[in-house]
Amino acid sequence: MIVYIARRLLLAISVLFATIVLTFGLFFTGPAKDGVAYQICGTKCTNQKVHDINHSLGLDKPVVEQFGTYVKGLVAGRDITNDGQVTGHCDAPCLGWSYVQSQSVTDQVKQVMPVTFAIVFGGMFIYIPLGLLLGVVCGRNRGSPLDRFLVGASQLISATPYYAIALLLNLYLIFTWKVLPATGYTPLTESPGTWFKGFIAIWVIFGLFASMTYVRYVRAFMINTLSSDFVRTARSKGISERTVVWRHALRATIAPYLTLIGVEVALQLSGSIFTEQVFNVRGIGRLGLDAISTNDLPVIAGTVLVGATFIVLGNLLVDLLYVAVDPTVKLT
Amino acid sequence: MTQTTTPPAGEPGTQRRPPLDPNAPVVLTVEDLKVQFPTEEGLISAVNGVSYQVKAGQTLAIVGESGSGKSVSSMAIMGLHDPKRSRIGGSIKLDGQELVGASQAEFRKLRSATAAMIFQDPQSSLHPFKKVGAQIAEAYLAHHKVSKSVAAKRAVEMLDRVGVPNPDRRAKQYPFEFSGGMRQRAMIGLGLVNDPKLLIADEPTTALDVTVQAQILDLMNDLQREFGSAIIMITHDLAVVAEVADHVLVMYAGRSVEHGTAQQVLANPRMPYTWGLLSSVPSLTADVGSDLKPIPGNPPSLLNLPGGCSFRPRCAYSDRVPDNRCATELPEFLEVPGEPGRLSRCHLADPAAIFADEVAPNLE
Amino acid sequence: MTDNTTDAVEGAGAIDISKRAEESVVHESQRDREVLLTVKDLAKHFPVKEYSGLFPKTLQTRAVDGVSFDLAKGETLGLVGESGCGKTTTGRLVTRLLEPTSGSIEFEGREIAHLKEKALRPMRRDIQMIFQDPYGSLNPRFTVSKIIGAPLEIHGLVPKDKIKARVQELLEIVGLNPEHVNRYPNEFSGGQRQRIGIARALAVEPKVVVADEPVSALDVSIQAQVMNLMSQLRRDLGIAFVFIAHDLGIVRHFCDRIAVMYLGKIVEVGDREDIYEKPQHPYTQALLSAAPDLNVVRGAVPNERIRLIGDVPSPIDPPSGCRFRTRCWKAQEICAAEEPPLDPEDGKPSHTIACHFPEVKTNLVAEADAS
Repeated sequence: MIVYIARRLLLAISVLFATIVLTFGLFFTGPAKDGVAYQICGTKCTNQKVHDINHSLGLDKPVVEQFGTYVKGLVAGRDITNDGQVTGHCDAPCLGWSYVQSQSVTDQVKQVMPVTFAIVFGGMFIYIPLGLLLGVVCGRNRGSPLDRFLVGASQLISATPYYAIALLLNLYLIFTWKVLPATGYTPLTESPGTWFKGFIAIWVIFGLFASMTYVRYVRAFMINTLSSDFVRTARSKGISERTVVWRHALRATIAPYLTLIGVEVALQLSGSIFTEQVFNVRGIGRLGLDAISTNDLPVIAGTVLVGATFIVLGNLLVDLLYVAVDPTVKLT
Repeated sequence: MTQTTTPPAGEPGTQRRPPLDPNAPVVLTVEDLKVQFPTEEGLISAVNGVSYQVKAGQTLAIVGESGSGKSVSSMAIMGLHDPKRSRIGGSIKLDGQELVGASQAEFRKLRSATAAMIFQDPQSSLHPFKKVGAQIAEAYLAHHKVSKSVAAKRAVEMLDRVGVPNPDRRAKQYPFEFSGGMRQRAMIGLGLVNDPKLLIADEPTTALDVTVQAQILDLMNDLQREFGSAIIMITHDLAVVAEVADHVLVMYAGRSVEHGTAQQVLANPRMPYTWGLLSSVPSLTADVGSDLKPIPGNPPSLLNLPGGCSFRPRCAYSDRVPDNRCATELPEFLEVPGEPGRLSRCHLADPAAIFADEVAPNLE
Repeated sequence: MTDNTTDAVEGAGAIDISKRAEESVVHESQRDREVLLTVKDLAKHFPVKEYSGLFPKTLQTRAVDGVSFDLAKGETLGLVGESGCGKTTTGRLVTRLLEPTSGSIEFEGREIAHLKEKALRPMRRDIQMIFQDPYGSLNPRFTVSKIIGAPLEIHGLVPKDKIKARVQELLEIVGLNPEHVNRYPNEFSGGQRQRIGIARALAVEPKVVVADEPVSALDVSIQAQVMNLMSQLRRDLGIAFVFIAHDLGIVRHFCDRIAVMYLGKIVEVGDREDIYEKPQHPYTQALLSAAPDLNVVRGAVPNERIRLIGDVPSPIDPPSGCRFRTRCWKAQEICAAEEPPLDPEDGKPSHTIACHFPEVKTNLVAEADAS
């Protein structure tokens, strides 16, 4: 088990390194290499000026040396120099430096991550159990009116763009009917109550929407499993149907369900722009979006790297959980 | 442990089965069983009036091809058909209790305790993520008020009984760590854990290799002697029937067409379908020069059974029955005069003579 | 339907394959074999990753590990053995659906073991395969006409406008209604699908057909229909068969020569009578003895019942020396130390046995009482 984790971590690290090389290559070399300079002095920059800025920021150094600096920053942090003078310090893991805002990208990410974490993990508490529960109920009562209604509803909801649903529910539930409290971000450390209140609507709406997809997945898994031979064996033991469904069938269904969720969660952690935008909270999605609108290349590169890290870690976590639920994949 | 068992030379093969005890108590009586499945295309009559009895310590083989209803009829005994998607009629009396119309709660009490079932594919019949010992213990716990550790011990004991080496260690393993033969042994252990009066084995060796099949058939024979259970062996393999069965029921298109002792049905069959089955199988000693004599055509659709005898469209002998009765009148499942327990469903006047003169010479 | 089949196959003579049929008769009468296919020391190892250390190790599953045999014109060679013995892999190597790890496959004097796809194409016509699963091996989206016609088109055997007629002819040969050319596989029963698979293999007029468990997915009564069809084709078209099956009765019925495989190796090869009546390798004897036999109810008495204990060992790490020794009741020290070569029986080169202690056993399968 430990060897397995070690091997997977090794793999994860090599994937991340590849991502770092790729991100660096895409954003700071080749056609994009003058992006930072242009952003500082505007599009009407003369070549000379670009050259000067690049020189003062050390962006004209050999690519390998710059990459070394970048990686060193990620590992140990680095000083940001302008014309040889230290103008700021970027703590490890230094994801880069936003010259526009004179702030390290890491600090910016740190500011927004609590919001993203809250949205993603809070929503999980709603859609994982809800998707599972409704999926099992549908699968068990295939063809019943309840099943048809839920499958229909889930298809309808999944077919509608999320932002439209989020916007409408936001409008009705919060502003018109005032069923749910208004959303907004207060740091958890400041006031847990307000923090919680600010997220309730997000969790409910995002959770409900996400669960609709999983209902259909779990239902399909469940129908499949309930007709499998080992479920028939379980039934022939004389145990209750409830045990058959929840202990035997669900046990086999949970492994593929986990995989689905793991990948999805990792994606959400790299940004859920619609949720943040509609409910007016600023997570990593909006950080990236804002950076795009101001051409803040270092921030964009930083969010890409963070997103990639979550996806790699998410996959690792899924694999570990898979080992925990499916003994047949032990040590593979 | 020796590698082979070699009985003294000359021990008659027929004494593989102990002589039948006519006074053995009846465990299961099935009468005019009907199982139907309503579908969008129409009503599928999977079982269409089947009757048989099984006595304690004896084995009844139910033989037929796919779609003959042999598995469907046995699943009905276990109450394993979804009541919402099936209609069951007739009567099933297990150990004196009527099961047609019984509630799921009643079935739950019987399953594994009075009647247990083992299935064809041991690979998929055990839960892939649960330890083998725990799966057996679960069945014991469902019917005994004992602690988990007692049930676990019982599971190890069963694994030992069915010849799984190192049962202590094996009980803590998952099915994927077992070979096919070992899994089927574990399934048999699971089936017998509550010492049921009836064991239904649905093609238990079809998925196994021939040397492993021989092991499993031997094991089932031994355990039957030890536990005294009645066994229903569902199979398509007449050679397996010859090795393990006391009685045989041949099914075709959802109906019973022939019944008798293994000796009677396999050596002197009275129904052209059974003849066809026998001549379809190349034996290990028959002449090789000639072609096999298959049954022409395909089994009928259960949605749309032919009128009269279901086998008539494939039967080479129907023209010997006058008045086209085979096409118009379903033959009754009748006892052969003077041979109690010997039944067949055929209009032919003297099937024994036809078999002896025309069919049997081609078999050897 | 059987009658149909017979008629149709007789009709096949008209489709100018009659020449081959005549040639095949020669072999029946004398042992002057014209060898088509020679397989020598054939091996196929599949890599398997083992993840016990920090870095995965690659181990080899020795699915086929040094197999030699030959096949003469019009002959039928049966490959029997239990799951994992490598019989299916051997079949796929011979048809070159797989490339062997080592060894040689000579077809009509030409080495084909490592030919590349393009160079293989002409030979694909001569060696065809019939698969076990009549459901999975036909593309459900293609009509029968396309399934059977495609090889004709690929090999350019028939002008395009005549393909349909040829397909209909082939359908008739295998006992199907030629009017059904435009149907899809799901409109046929299992036995009929297997007939389509056979028609597809026949379309290119092969010299060798490798049939991998062609009837084991079918019901008993349908099995006999398909077996008869294959017997007819063998007789009428003179096709040589490599027949892979686990059912000893069917193999005995269909095959002139039989090779018994165990854990990737051939343990005994011989003519039908040698294998079934005078087997010498303990594994062959155990297989025959384990086969359930109908004759038991007719009062048949086998000499003895051999019951093997345990399971086949893993082909990843097969036993040293003789691979069967872990389950063999005759095993001695030499069996672990030395691998027995496939040696001919005294004075009979056609019957070879790979055993240190070969011994004839008869009457393992009992004849029924004549009475």
